[in-house]
Amino acid sequence: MNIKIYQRNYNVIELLVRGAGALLVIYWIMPWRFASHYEYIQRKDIRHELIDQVTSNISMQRLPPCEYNDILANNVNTYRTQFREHVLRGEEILPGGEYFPEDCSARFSTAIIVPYRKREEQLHAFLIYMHNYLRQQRIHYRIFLVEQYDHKPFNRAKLFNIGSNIAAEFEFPCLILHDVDLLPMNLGQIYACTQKPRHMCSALDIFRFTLPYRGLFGGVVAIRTQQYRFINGMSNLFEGWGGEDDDFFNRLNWHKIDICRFEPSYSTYTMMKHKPEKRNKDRIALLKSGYKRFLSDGLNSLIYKEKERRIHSLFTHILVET
Amino acid sequence: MSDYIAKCQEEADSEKVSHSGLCCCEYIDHENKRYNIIACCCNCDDFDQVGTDWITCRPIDRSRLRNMLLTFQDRLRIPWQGGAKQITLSSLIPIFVIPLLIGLAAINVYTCIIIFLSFTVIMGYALNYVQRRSVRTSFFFVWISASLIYSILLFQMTIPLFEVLPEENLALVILSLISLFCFYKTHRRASLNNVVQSVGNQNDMADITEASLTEENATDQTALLIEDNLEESQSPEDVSSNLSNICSTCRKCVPLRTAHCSVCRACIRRHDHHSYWLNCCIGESNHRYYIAGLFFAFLALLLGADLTLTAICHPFLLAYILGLQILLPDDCSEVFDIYEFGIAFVIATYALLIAVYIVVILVRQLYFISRGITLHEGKKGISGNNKTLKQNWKGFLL
Repeated sequence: MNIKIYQRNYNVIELLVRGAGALLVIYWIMPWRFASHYEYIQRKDIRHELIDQVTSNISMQRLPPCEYNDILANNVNTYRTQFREHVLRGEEILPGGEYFPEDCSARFSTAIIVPYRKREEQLHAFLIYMHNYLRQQRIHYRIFLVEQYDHKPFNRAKLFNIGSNIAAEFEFPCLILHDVDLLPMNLGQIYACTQKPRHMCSALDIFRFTLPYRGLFGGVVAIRTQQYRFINGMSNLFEGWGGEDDDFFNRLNWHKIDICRFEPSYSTYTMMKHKPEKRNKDRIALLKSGYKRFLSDGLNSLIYKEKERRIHSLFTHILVET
Repeated sequence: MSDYIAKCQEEADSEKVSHSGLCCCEYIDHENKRYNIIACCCNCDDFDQVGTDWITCRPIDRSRLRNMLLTFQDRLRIPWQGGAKQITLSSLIPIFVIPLLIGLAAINVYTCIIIFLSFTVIMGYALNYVQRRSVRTSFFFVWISASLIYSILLFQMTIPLFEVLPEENLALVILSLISLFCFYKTHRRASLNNVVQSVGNQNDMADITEASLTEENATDQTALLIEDNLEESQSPEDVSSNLSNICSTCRKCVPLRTAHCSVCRACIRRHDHHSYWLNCCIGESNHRYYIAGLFFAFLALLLGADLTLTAICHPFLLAYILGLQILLPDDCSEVFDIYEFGIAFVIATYALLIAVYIVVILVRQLYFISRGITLHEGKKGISGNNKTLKQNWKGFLL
């Protein structure tokens, strides 16, 4: 079986085998199955992008403004045992897990909202490390731990909505929606808001410090309070693991709000080990029909019962029934 | 059983002779008749007779049993251009055994350790055995090819590819292709090593094969010839003093540093060794491709293993080199929790095992090249020529 192309004879089977081999190799190197590269804010532009906004008690301080350029320029790796073992100089932290520098006036006020249920070990490690980490950044922050106090499936997005309402009571202009199992590794990831909502953990160690897909917008996210209110928060319907972060990303897109990220070396995070949560089987269907509910489902449809609010030494504990 | 093995080898030899004018389903069987694979279940007198004897509890004739097995093996073929190709037992084993071993090793850490240890010991023993006996077999070649194909397939299927950068994958593909190309060239150029035989010698060879086909003492004869050859080549002054040698097996004049390979049954120019993994001889014309292939295969295996292990285990950042992050795994304690990750882990370990083996081969090769001698000469006790290291390498590369 031979065919003639340009006066040369080729064997059909041999040609087919070679063609199949070439196709296989092309499929093998096609980039869409692999991690994606993404646009990011370069280190020299980071300070410029951060929005200086503080609560009223900080703005009334008569102190020189804090400098952040050295933190950004050095971007030191703080994920060391000395910061992970115990809280250093714990007397600096105010009740409720609040801190602001005494020697200068902080330029950023941030509410860190952590949804939580039954992960004592991780919470312990998180609080110790985060207080040591965040105080080095010389910002004003407060940690709000929103605990789901019922037996329904874990509803991460709803707990963020509740947390944002409480942070708004404290007049925080910037929200950071933070998972309890993620810890930042480099100091340059300033816990403050940028004009665009920011995906902070784009270089996660369990993903080999790469971004699996561009639409990934979960883990640690910084968003301005007014933007969060504008897009009606997150959906209250995602129970169990997965989907709510993609729905959040779709909401932002639908409202024509772009997202941003910092340079990979500023966005390194490590994930603490844990058993996987029960997956939400309906998440794909909910995600697909999500756009119909962007205006009706969210902060304006939020129903919950606040059981208790405790002021601990390292965090503000809010127990809620969803 | 030994006469059956000897007979199989003869069959394999006659298989080498190319037949023209065969369609893809036809072949020449062991009785030199044209046969079609569609007729695989028809017309086997030996099988009929053995079957009858077995059912009626009569003693089974040994030669009939042998012929039956030969016919079975002869008829087990797949269609191929230029005549149906025979499937031998040695080439079938790897295709089924490799996935079985990978599947078992991926269950937990104990099966993994047991299988890897026993695999290394058994493979080492088998390779040693065939090297001592100069058995002709394509088992190792099929094994390594099947391993490669299975590894690539499972690499694609088991590891979370969205954690791997496209550049890293591209580097892996390029390194693999370069090494495959080098090994392909090594294999293809192996026949260029052979000292071209004169017409008279070819007749001699044909006579010998025919004689062995009919006579039982053929194996003794070849054994004698091999011994003869060993005695001949063991005298070192023979190699160094004369300009040309005489190969006692082929009974002809051959250039200097030529050695007879009893597996390929040919005189190989600057014979280095017979590679069972590539199923060909390494000599003058393919030695450089062989070294290059080993080197790139080593790099590809290392990169592939690192990509797999960092994707399934907990990685840490070692350093930034030219803007690329170099990762290494630091905690693989949970890989056996998910079966797919277990498979990926087993493959990565297998790749590292082969990489270590390649390093050993490569270091030995580099040592002998630096001394200016081949592995064959080194094994005979020649310590090296009196050239410098630089001259030796120049001689090897140019």
